[in-house]
Amino acid sequence: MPLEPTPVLAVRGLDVRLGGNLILDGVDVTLAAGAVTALLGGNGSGKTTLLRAVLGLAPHQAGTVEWFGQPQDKFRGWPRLGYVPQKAAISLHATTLAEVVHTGTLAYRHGAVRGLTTLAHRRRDRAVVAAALDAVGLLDQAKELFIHLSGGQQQRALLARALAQDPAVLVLDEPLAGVDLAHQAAIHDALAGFKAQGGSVLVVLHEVVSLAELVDHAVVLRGGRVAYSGPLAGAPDASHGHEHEPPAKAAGVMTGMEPQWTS
Amino acid sequence: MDILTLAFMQRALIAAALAGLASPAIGTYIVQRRLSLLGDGLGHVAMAGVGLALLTGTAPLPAAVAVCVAGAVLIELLRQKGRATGDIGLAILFYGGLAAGVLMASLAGQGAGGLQSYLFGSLVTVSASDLRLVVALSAVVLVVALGFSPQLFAVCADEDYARTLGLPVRVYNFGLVVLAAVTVTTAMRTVGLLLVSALMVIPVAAAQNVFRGFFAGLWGAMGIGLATALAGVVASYYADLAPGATIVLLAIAVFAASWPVAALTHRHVTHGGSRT
Ligand SMILES: Nc1ncnc2c1ncn2[C@@H]1O[C@H](COP(=O)(O)OP(=O)(O)O)[C@@H](O)[C@H]1O
Ligand SMILES: [Mg+2]
Repeated sequence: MPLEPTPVLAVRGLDVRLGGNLILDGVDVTLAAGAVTALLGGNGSGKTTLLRAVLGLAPHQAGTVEWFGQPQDKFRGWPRLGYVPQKAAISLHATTLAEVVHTGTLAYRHGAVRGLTTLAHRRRDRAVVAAALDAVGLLDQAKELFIHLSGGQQQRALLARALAQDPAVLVLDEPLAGVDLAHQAAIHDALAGFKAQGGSVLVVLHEVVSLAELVDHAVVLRGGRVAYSGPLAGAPDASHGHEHEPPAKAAGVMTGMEPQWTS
Repeated sequence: MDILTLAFMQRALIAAALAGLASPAIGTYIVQRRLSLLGDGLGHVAMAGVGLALLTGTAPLPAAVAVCVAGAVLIELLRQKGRATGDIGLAILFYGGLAAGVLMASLAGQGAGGLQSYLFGSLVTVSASDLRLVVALSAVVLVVALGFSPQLFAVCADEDYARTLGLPVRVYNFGLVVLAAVTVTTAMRTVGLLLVSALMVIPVAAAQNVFRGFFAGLWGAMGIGLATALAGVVASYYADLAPGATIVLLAIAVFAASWPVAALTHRHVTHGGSRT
């Protein structure tokens, strides 16, 4: 019998309770090495909660999470996981884009507190930040204030921050939300390049279309349970779950506009 | 320039310069975390240390540092619990600290007049041993605030993301409030406990009007803090003014002057930001 390679991420029987409600109910998800797993499902189906739970940001009450074969509480490879949250939770009003992206470079510093910043750090980090911004097409805006960017630009900036980590895995929560079609293509190319170099991706998607050819495996959540797990082609039409989506958002994508975050 | 030949003025100038550098450095992080009033609360708590020292006949500054750091740890514990009662807990801690300090001082025979120098600062009270402690503590504050700036920035900007990087977020959160407590107490002699929070917040707000970005703002705020602290001490010496109040009003003047700059920069940035 051939030995199964250890998956990058194995989630089994995951229960997550928030505010007294069972948000995730016995969820199983696997991310194979070098693969792209897409998480689909309507608003409120638990996609964001699942990402937060596997990253240790939300506690789980039952089930197991294993990264690279290690239980979550023993895992030490966090800096190689590049997280792009759904909504920019950046609380700094006076921060430039380059400064936000620079945070990602802390990932490859050593030691628990990552040490004092030296001139050598500065020189190395500057090149990494420029490369990451270039990969998402935001190099020209490096010195703009983060809060003055559109929602789609902020989303791309957070992807650049994750890329600056030199990650082995990307964990993306709706990376295309509010991103116009031209820049969706840029994100596609960045992710395709990442995958070609052996990177693995767990991605929550709303609009599957522009990334469809990269997706190896799809998981559809409904009401906190896995409703489907298999090839993307066989997934039930995800658009059924999107009845709460404001039409403005879809229109924004069609016209290439980048709507601002509304919340 | 007789001002520089007076030993007490030399000490006052050095202490003020260090407070002017350290307070906005820590303040930059505190403001970004939207904890602008933390310094004010810590100033209240530190009064308990002063009262304790007056009552027991020990040196006020070390006692104030110790009590204020303990209060800071309590504050952060309350904040991390995130309970609805946290606000009430903070109020009890702040006003309890101030009241206990005043009560102990009056037991020790010190009236409100005796406390004035701690509450509002005084040029003549910085002793040589005070100055040694102020220099040592300020050095620690500045090395951490500048040397660990990317980490502190990461935790203040996006705590969840910092956690996913494997950064010890709790350690940095505690470190930040402890450094704030140390800063508040080392500024006690020059600016006073009731006004020190202004030096943590106002230069930061002024710098953010003028400079673009977090780190430019950090350095700018330190520059404004240093300049207003030194100018305030010199002015209060020649005009016989209360130093803390003079420093704070100077900082507010700088902030007011920075407004037109902010209006111009804002327009520019909004244009740039609308590009896609
Ligand atoms: N901190 C929380 N406390 C209580 N309920 C929450 C919390 N976070 C999310 N929820 C609820 O969990 C459900 C799933 O949310 P989420 O994971 O954000 O869904 P999705 O990302 O699929 O839109 C929603 O009903 C939401 O209201
Ligand atoms: Mg979500």
